Amino acid sequence: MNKSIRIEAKQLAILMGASLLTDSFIQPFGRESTPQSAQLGIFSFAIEMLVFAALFRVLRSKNNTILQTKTTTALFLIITLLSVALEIIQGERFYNYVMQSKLSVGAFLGIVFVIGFYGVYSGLDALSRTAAMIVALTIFSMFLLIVSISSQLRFTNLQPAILNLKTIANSAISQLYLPPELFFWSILFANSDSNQKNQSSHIAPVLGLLFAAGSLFSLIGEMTLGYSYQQQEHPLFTIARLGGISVFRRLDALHVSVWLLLFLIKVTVYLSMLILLIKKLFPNLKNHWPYYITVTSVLGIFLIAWSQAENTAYKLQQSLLAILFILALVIPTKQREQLQ
Amino acid sequence: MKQVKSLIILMFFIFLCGCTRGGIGDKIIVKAILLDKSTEYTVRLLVIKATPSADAGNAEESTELLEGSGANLFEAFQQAETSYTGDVFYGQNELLLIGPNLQQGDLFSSCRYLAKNSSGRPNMAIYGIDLTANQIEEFVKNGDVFLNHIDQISQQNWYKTFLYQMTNKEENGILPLLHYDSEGSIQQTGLKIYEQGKPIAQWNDTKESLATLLNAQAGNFQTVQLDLPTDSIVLDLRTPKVFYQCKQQGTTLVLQIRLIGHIQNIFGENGLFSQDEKKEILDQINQCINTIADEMIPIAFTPNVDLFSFQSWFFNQNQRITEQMKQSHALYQADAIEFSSELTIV
Amino acid sequence: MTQPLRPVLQQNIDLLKQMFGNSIDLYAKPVKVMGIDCCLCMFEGLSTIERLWVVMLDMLSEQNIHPQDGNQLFSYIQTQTDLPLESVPVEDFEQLRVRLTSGATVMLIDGCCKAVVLSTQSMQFRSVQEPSGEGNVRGSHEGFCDLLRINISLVRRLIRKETLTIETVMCGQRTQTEVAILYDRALASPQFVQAIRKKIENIQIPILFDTSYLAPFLQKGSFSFFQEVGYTERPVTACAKICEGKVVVMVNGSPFVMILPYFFNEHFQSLDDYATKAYFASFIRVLKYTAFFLAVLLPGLFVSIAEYTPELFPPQLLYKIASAETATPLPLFLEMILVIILLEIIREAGLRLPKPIGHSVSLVAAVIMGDAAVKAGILSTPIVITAAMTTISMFVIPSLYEPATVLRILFVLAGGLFGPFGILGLLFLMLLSISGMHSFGLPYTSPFVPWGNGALRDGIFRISWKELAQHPFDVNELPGGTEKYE
Repeated sequence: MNKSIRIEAKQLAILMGASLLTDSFIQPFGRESTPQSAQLGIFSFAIEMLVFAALFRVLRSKNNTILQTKTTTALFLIITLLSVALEIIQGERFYNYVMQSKLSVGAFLGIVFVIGFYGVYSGLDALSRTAAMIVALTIFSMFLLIVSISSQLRFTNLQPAILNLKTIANSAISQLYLPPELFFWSILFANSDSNQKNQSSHIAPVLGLLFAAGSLFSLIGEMTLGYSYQQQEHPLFTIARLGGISVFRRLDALHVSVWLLLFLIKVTVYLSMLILLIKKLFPNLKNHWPYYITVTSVLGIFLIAWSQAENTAYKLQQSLLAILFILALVIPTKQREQLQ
Repeated sequence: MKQVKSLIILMFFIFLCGCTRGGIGDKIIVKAILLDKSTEYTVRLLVIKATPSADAGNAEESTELLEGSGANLFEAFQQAETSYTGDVFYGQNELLLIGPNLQQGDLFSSCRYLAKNSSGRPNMAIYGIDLTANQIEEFVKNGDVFLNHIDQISQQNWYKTFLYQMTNKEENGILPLLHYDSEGSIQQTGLKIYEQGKPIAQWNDTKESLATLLNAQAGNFQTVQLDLPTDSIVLDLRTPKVFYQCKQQGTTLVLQIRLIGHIQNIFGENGLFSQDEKKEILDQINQCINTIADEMIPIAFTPNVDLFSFQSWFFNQNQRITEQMKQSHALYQADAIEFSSELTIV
Repeated sequence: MTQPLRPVLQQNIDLLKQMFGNSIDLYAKPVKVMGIDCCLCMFEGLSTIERLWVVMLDMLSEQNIHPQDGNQLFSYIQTQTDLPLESVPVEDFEQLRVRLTSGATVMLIDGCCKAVVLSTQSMQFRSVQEPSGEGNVRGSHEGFCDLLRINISLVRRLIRKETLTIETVMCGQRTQTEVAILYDRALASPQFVQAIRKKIENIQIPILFDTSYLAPFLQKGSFSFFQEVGYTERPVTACAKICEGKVVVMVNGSPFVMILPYFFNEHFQSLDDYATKAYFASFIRVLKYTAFFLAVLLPGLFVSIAEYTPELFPPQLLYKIASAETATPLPLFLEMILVIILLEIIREAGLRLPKPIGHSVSLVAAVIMGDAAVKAGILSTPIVITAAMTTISMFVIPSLYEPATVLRILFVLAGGLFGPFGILGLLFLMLLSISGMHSFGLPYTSPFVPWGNGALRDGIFRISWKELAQHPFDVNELPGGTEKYE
């Protein structure tokens, strides 16, 4: 009815931003990175975002190349499978950590799969719009969090230290990880908007938001908890528990709800990519077979990795991502030459 | 057909729900946890039970004490929890009382256990109390009076320490102390200072008030008890504030701490001081506070302890010099921090 | 192929009676007009006898005209008299049926294959009154009635611009109901109007008594709790939507007109929003949004918190709820569902009962549910209070009553079975469902997501008319119209 405008690229950026933002709240498993002092943390975030920007810049010119060959598609499929399983493990662990009443793993998985597949069925448009609402909720939640702990913020709690390049570099490397979202982005942008210039104008605000969020959280965490900040398993949850506004003492429930909504967005994005890759790799599959394969394989990896080999699964995921990145750089160039 | 299958699954869940899970009515609500240790760990859970009533307005609550003891905290908690047939619910508990024996040792390891356990919450307020487990039982038999006093603790403007502050590996911290007397009133009676898990000092009266000020927990009004050579007085301070300023003097740094506020009232043995009497005694008051602060600072700021985050002021001024002073221990010398009380009369 | 009128009068009369099965309300009176045999046909109740005789007397007074045959008489009456005739005569039985059932009188003339149509409509209908729903303090209090032509006239007299266009289509195989499509051709997208017209023309439906029957045929997409179309009983609202570039569909016999497209935020708008001060209108809208989410989420949240995360209750409330739950036989969430269903039964009973005994329903409900059931320990007061609060909240937005009712039951189930994660999951599904809907090519969540100009100006908050008037809302300017509606 109306003319199509470029809102699609913006919505996609919000979706990717929401997915990456989840890591700030629900610590992605496997990294097991202990919180650092705010000073180091901010520098680490900055370096991390610069690395993401550089990776993205390289990847954006390789839009469809990841899916050009069966090898890279299969590799990306395995990576996505591992990512989904690891993310669900982390979400389940986080949920049972914050809730006194536990939810059985089966029920948790059932709900996640139902929601995930409904999200896949609804499409990326609906998902990106939902992500926009949830990001707005997240910003509101963070504002409330800061207000609720404002009386406990102390500048004197900050732990400044003498920094040098080596310390900062070590810290950045220990925090660094390769998110699959960077690859998702380049594929999804290729499907929706092939204008390369548009991508940069959208990723910059996303990376800016992530940097701002990460820096803010480490800052307010340390200003509230002081040295104890670095000894917390989930420092943001700890300070959410401390805060209160007037008679409302348990605002952490509100914050946790918003974070779990972000988690659901992320899992749905991953599942969308997984279904897309399965359909790409096995185009002859009909009806609901891609979904059956998804559930079976994700469950399989979940059961293998859960509480037993999570670290291994994470390292495997990161290694495969690195290999895929290298392949995306090298192989497509040769492919084009062969075609010519 | 799809709808029929979904409906069947839904009905399956509906009819099976409630079969295994106990409701909120099966829960007993913990209001406070008392920990102590003699030959073994003892846990007392102060709980409230609600009498069944469909009209919630007519509901009444009764107080009980669940007891447990064991070789470690896990066993003690388990025994206490299993003494009740339903679920023990810790979600509303934000008060941890440490008995006199546990205050002398194992305090931090107990706090670390609670912090990781579902029975503990990072924002639990932790106090030391001078009641043993048996004495608590006697008071609980009085019914809701004890519970009311316990409820009042969180509403008072007393010095607060939270559980997360007592879980650090260095085992340093401040434990506020409470006294509950037989007449049924609870008062805060001082602060116990810990270094490396052991109590090294107890601050009462003036030192307690000063510590509250230095830790920025004081409100707009603060009552300070002062023992002058001539008289024991009580000051009502209005808007007391502590100002910090770190200055570089040559190759060293000096942190100047100034206490500023207005003395509204002074009460002595003979009653309220007049305006002239206040002015006469003002210098003495400031001098006395300076002396007390000079006694406190060497305990609060050592290579192992930094109770009031003084180090951050030095660091923010000059990290390199601070590190040098830290290495040479000059940072912890008396001349590194200058405290001055500059109270005035309203 | 419809049968044309025959030149023999009696044959036409016989065929007419046969067509309507000799219905007793068919009035067919043979008369002689200027010496020529004619037959006056009409339906009693749709046309008035009195007006007919006045018309006839007028005709009979013309003594100087002597037509030779039926065709001359027809020509004279159709072209040379001042009688209130319709410009298009009847030439076949299908047209005859349409005219007779619309309340006109048709005069069959012997020897002529055409019949004259006299405008003698005088049917009984509900007059223009204030509608039962959509109450407002300021602004027009008129509401649509059941007759299509009257409803069209109500719109026409409010929008006096020449660009207001009204088309009619017949729909309903057994009822042949007239459907009107109204739009401003300077504002509405021509492709959209054409698509709507084509859709309505192709609808195969046996009966049509209300605009809502058309909705499933016009909407795209699979099942959703929310509708992509809106309804209104107020001419002013319909005109406002036409002035935004939207299309309004009316059905004869229904006072509810359909608005296309319709967005989620429009459920929270009302006439009074634009008649009161901007700050108050904004306040009321915020209240409505709060009421909606309260109505949908509160029962489920209450059950979830009580069963899974009771620490969220304030201490004073917690032991009261615990004592109430212990005293009642059912699990909390089954109790909540029971109370919700009871409230719905009471509401439905109050709606269907005759007015004289309608007040008894509230008395019975209050006594039984509010008092006796609690005293007997069957229901607990927290549950009753929560359910009652949410029911009242739902009345703030009556247009969302149906989805809100079903959704709150689903949220109770989700909260009772799976706790907070169930609530979150269902909330996520609800948001996804709303976000995935397109109202005739435009995202249902417009103008919030994707963010459009209207979001700040007239979304949750309304700015003053001075600023609103500078750039009136136009549905064609909304972003995100990537889905084609055909």
